[in-house]
Amino acid sequence: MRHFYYLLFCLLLSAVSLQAQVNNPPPSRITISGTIKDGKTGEELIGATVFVKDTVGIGAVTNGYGFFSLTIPSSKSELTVRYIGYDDYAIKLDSVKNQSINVSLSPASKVLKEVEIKATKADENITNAQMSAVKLDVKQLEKIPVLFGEKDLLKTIQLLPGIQPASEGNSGFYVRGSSNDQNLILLDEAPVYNASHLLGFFSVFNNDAIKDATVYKGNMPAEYGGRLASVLDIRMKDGNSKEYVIGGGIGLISSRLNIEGPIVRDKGSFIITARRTYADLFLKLSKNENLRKSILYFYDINAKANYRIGPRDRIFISGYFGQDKFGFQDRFSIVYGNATATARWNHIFSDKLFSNTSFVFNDFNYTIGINVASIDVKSVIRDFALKEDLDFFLNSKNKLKFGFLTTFHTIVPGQVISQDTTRIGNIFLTKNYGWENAVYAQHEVSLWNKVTINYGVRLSIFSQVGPSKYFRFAENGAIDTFQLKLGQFNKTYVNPEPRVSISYNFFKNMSFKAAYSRNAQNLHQLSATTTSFATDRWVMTSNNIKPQIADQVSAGYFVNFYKDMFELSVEGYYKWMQNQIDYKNGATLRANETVETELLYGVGRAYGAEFFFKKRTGKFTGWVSYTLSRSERKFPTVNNQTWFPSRYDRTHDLSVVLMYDITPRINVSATWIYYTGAAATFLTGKYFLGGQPVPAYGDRNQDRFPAYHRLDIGATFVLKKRKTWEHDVNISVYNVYARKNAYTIDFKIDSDNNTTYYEKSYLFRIVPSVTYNFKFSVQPPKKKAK
Amino acid sequence: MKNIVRSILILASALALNTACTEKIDLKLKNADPQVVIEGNLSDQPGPHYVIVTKSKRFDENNTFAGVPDALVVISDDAGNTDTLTQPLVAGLYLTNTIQGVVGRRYHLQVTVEGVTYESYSSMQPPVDIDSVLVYEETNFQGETETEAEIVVRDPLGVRNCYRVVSYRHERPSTGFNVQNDRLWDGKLRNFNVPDDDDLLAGDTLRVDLWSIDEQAHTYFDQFNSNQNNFGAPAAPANPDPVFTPSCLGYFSAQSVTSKTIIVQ
Repeated sequence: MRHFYYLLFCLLLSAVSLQAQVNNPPPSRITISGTIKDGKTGEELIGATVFVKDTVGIGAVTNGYGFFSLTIPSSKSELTVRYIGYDDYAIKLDSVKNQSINVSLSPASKVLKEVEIKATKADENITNAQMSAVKLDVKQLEKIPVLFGEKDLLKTIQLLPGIQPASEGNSGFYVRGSSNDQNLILLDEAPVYNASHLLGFFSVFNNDAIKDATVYKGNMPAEYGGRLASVLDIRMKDGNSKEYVIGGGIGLISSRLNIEGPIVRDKGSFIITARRTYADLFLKLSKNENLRKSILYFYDINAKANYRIGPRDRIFISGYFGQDKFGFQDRFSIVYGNATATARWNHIFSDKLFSNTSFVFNDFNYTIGINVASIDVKSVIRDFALKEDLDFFLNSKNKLKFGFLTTFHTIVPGQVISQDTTRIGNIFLTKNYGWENAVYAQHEVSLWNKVTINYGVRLSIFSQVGPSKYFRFAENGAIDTFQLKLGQFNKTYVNPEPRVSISYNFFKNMSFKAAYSRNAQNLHQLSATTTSFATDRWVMTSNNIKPQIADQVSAGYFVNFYKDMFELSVEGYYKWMQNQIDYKNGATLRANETVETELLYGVGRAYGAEFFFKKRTGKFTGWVSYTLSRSERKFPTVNNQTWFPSRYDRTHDLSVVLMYDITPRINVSATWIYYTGAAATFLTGKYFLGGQPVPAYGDRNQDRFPAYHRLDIGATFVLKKRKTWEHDVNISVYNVYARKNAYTIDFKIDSDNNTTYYEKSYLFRIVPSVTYNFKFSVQPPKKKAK
Repeated sequence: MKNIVRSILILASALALNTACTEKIDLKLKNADPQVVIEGNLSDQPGPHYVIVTKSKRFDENNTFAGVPDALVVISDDAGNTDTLTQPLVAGLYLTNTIQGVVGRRYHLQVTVEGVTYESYSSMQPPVDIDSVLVYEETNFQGETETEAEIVVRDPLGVRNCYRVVSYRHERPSTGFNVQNDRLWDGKLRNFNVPDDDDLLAGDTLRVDLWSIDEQAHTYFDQFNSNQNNFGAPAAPANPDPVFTPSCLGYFSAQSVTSKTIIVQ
């Protein structure tokens, strides 16, 4: 631990000393810094570019808080600011000195008219060393048709290469042949342990609250860590700082309402968004009395406020709270939900050093009520974290980023609380506490205007801490228990995670990239069924469970052509995974104190090629993504220790997304997806036992579900669009040609014909839906803004 | 888990307003060679007790399983008794002649088929009484009313008890393996569902047997159920861990039995 602080101290010290050097810059160079905003709403723009007019290679990109810093030769005095969907903004410097500039961009004046591209600088997707990353266009997301008309970030990312849905209509996803729990989902920096509502049909992210989302399919920058496969970094809107806006929507099964506006004009703003489904109203119509008596809904609230306390300081407070309630008759019920809270402080130490300090809290808990047995099962997973990130913009060629994260984890595994202890006793499993620390540093350097290298390292340190009870398992099955007191550490794991990515720009619109990264994961979700549920148990790395480790190499070719109208990329990857977890036959994962005895440890490998072709501008936009991949595992006692396809293996995965603006008021869209069915174990024969025929199984995962494919279509009609008032209607049809995609496949006995057969169940046939959306804005009174 | 998946299907149907459905599906299956299957049961009740020896077959064949007629089946105990079973009724159904189940003894089953001798052991556990039998009406997931039965058992404290519940209607035993252990409720009063293949009707004579089985048999049945129960979509169904050496399909279970009979009102 001492090393950790020492390292941190060194990093800070080096920053300060670098700082000292640059305070006395050569007179030939000046530093321009500031923030880029949306001129209409006042929202900071993430990933906007600022570059010297008519010059390739001298530019900067705004960070997660809209801040940029650019050091340029003092001979240059004209800059351009660019962000997709906005008009370019020209800056003319009137003096040769370091200065701070805040720019407000206007949304592109004529969105439908083909955007004129002034190709002075190739796009960020080409020059940036980062690969395997996709920044989502949140506005475009509104056009893509989805189940029940609920716009859904997690469903949309499943249309990208290398990202596959866990199952029908499920917001769970697999990235490059990895499991759902290997994805890190961050909402304003707070990890979200369960990102799904309604047993998986919806994600917890209300589109109205989202400003920006980036998904990293591996090779993530060193600032991220803790999961093997991917990072989905979601940033909430800060709220309109210029005028009050009230918006909302009324859908078939849910409604939304949001309000945003300035706290003090141009100094601070807030946003509150809320959603509730009313699927249970449909249940009331049912003839089935059980359904009428059932409960089924979720709600969620996002809230955020920010305030600029000075020219160099800004604070943000954001939070999410959501809950699902599901009750079947009075027999059993599940209540679960997430809460997250983030408090952040942005501080600009100088025009080159930007700091963000975050305090993060997150909590996921569930209660299962089993009334027939008079028991409740309660579980909690909770984190408190402190995070510090520093962006140091050394000069236009060098950028440093470093910081630390310290997290205290608490896991309360499913506690059984009995209402009638004469029937069943309380079962209080040991609570687990973990302390996870990470410190990282990375350096991005551009060379000869052609090469960008980003290298860094993250050091992660994890230990379980007392007070808690732990187990040692002997070969002969004997279990030895040991107790740790408060402040005592169980085994500590230290993992250096090096990362490097390189891009080489052949031409300004074409590059080749390669990357290597290592990731470690110390929290693991146990789920022995094909669908992951909110109630699946999380466990920590311990003296028995080792951290999962993945090494990934990838390489790709990226090109934009026809004035950046088209984007094409091809990426290949290979990933090795250690300390993967599987389960023994008939494993008992619930209410089991020694759950570690039910686990198997093995290795994994995943490799594939991803193709992505996108038309970015014009009336007709969309993309085609195709992935050819394999994901395999090897465990000592499974399939004679040979490689077998994992649950996350899908050979082919194809998505086609098309959007067309017929008129400025009418937009139509369609998506078609196809993927190879999941690997499964079907029977290899049948035998007679317990008075009936039963299936006999062979090796694991040697069979396949039938291929999945589905077409969805949608249309949006803008009814009215005025400066202060607009409303539209969105219609979508899910599964247009009513494909009966298999959800489960069951062995059945046909007693009448003395035979057996397989039966599939499917969830949806055609599902039409309609949503009405509205938005109006009010200028705040000049004085006394309420 | 079964409840959750079923809930998802019901939920989907409720939301989509057009029912989530099921449909027969043709799958291309890999076929394994026939394997030996042994089902051995021995109890403390009057014999004869039986061992069924069959073989597995292809999925697309019918459900009639021919017995293996030329096996050598021997049960012995740790008190020096040995019994070679015979098949007086049908081929493959081997019955005991002399051996009796006694609580506390350990039994050894040997079955020789085509020159291979499969062996397994099972210990007979002390019996546990059925406190009472309850009959009640319940609406199922589809909203239909069904008559169900439960037994109430007082679990002995301080020992690991494993149970199998078998019901008989018109002398026909229930199918499948309805098993429990007292991991979560040692020494408590506990209700068990009574397995029924058909709906109970007023006037039916219902006999419920409570078998005290050993842990090895419980583990086998529990693994068997977690795999068969494919409605819960286990990620990787597999045959239960074998209880025979060398391995073959099936089990051997020695059990003490208590019983209660009621007439459904």
